[in-house]
Amino acid sequence: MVSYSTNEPIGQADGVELPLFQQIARAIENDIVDGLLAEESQAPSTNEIAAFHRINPATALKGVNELVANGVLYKKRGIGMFVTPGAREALLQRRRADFATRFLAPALAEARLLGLTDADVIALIQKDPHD
Amino acid sequence: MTEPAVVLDDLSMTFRTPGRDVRALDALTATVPAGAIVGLLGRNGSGKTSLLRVLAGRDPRFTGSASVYGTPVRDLGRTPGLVGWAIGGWPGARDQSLASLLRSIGRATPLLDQDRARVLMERFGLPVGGSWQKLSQGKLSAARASITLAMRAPLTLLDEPQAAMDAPSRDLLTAAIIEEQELHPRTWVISTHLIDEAAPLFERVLVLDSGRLVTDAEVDELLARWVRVEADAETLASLPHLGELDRLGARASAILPVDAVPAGPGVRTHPLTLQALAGLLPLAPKE
Amino acid sequence: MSTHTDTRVPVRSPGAQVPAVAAAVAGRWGWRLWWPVVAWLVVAAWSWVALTMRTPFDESGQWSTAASGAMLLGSISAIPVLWGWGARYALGLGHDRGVVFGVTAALSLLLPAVLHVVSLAAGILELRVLGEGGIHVFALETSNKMGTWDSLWNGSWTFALIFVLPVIVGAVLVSVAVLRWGALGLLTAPVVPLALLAMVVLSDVIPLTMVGPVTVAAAALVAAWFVFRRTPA
Repeated sequence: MVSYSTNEPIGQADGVELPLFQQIARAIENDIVDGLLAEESQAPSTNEIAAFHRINPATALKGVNELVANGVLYKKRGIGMFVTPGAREALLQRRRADFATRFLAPALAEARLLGLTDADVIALIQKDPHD
Repeated sequence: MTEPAVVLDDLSMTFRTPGRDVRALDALTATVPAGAIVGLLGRNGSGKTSLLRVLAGRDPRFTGSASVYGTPVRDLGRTPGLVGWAIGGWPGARDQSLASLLRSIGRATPLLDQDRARVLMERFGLPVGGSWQKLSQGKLSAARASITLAMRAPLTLLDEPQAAMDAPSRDLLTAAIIEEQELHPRTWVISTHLIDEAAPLFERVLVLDSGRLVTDAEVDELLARWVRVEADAETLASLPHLGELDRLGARASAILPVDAVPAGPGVRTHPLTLQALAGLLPLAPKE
Repeated sequence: MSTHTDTRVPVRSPGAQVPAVAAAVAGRWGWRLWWPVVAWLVVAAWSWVALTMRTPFDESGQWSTAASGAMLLGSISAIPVLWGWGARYALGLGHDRGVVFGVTAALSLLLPAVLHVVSLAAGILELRVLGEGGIHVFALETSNKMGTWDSLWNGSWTFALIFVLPVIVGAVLVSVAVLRWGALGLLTAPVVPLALLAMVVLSDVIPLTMVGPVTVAAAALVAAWFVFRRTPA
């Protein structure tokens, strides 16, 4: 599956493929983090999600329900699912807490494998590869 | 708890041919929950079609029991339209146009939405007024699938619906199944060999091998239980694995249960596809 | 999205399914029912041409029973067609097995009777219109050219019951056996002459002409049902 502007991988976590419904949840979270899905705006319906990804509507529902359970989305009766105000900030906070384990640890392990010292890594960070 | 869609209890079917007896179905016991989309997997000759025919009420030569929404399959004649299944080729229908065949089927299964069947057939590019005989295998599959979907049966059976279909048609079929599930939710049992293509549709799978039921599990749970491991051949050979090791020099790759993955450097894990796993599940040790 | 599967399917009593099953068994425009009539007319026309061309034309008239024979043959041949094409199609559509058997068996018995009435009516009408002379193409085997309408009627029905009925139910049994076991089913073909024999013997032994035929026919149809009920569709 394609990942969006955030580098949060959708398909895998720790080398194991995520169940499809979690991939759906992650994809919606990424949209929120990237600002593509604004707070208080309506999230796509489970039917739209199922048709778009060509998956079982029950799987789409499971993914959406996971987000409702986490408080990222809330249900407006008779209308649909909406993004909870403050969801983006909450997601950013959660991802900040995980940043070290998800992104830094693998990078540092790779650096060690390649024989780079911590000082080398810090120098690389300060040089900012985006230039 | 809603009533399960299908209940099988010790379902067996043996064909006596001169020389040997063939066990098409061997003591199948399983339950299919209502509203689920279930994949029916297994090699050719594993009993998939036999099971579907029994569920459709078309083959009475079995022992044990099978029931659909509480109705024994032997009594399905009283409730035509409870199980939707389109027979291949419709023997005796060669002289009819698709439109007149639709009318005949509509008389047999009252829930058939003939307009919906026509709409679906048009999507596949089928000539509704045309003759049956001139259709290719792929178009025949598309016609069968269109009619089965339009039957709107609470239990809908599809036997390798994408057989001989080209890729765009297969995509159309998947989209149509999802659309139908949203418009008129029902229970589906779909047999297929194109497992990876169909996997996103399935919540559960039933895997058959020589008539026996090897696996009856949720897809997510199944894929979470096994993983492909790459490590040195000696280590892997001593661990419980499915099937043979794929060797490359001193290294090897095998499918292991998740809790048997060895620790240490040089061990890489890869996610499994349902297709890869399904082929090997018959070799798994019985729990 | 509603996740509740609607399992309310209308229950259709067997009686309600009969018209649909009959339509399926009879085929497009009912051709499986009336094709013997076409054969009969064709043979009649052919006989007429053949008889017209024969010389000399004498006063006692020209008679051909070819057409009535063709109708008889057609009505027997119609039975495997009804089962092998019609019943198989009806089962393939998903109709109730019991209803399919009942309808097809009923048609197997009624059709020859109806066709026989048509053939008989044509023969009698022809006799009435033409008298003794002229070209008769619809004559029946049991025609007594000098006889009355009554004897013609009775004669043909006795013939039908004792000789044709066993062939009919025999044909039903063989057709059903072929449906169930394929070509192997043809091994039951000897049942036809056996039924014929049984009928002839019974009609000699039991003075009432109806008891014998009905017993043999009922037994054969019950056997056919036991074969049919386990036929896969």
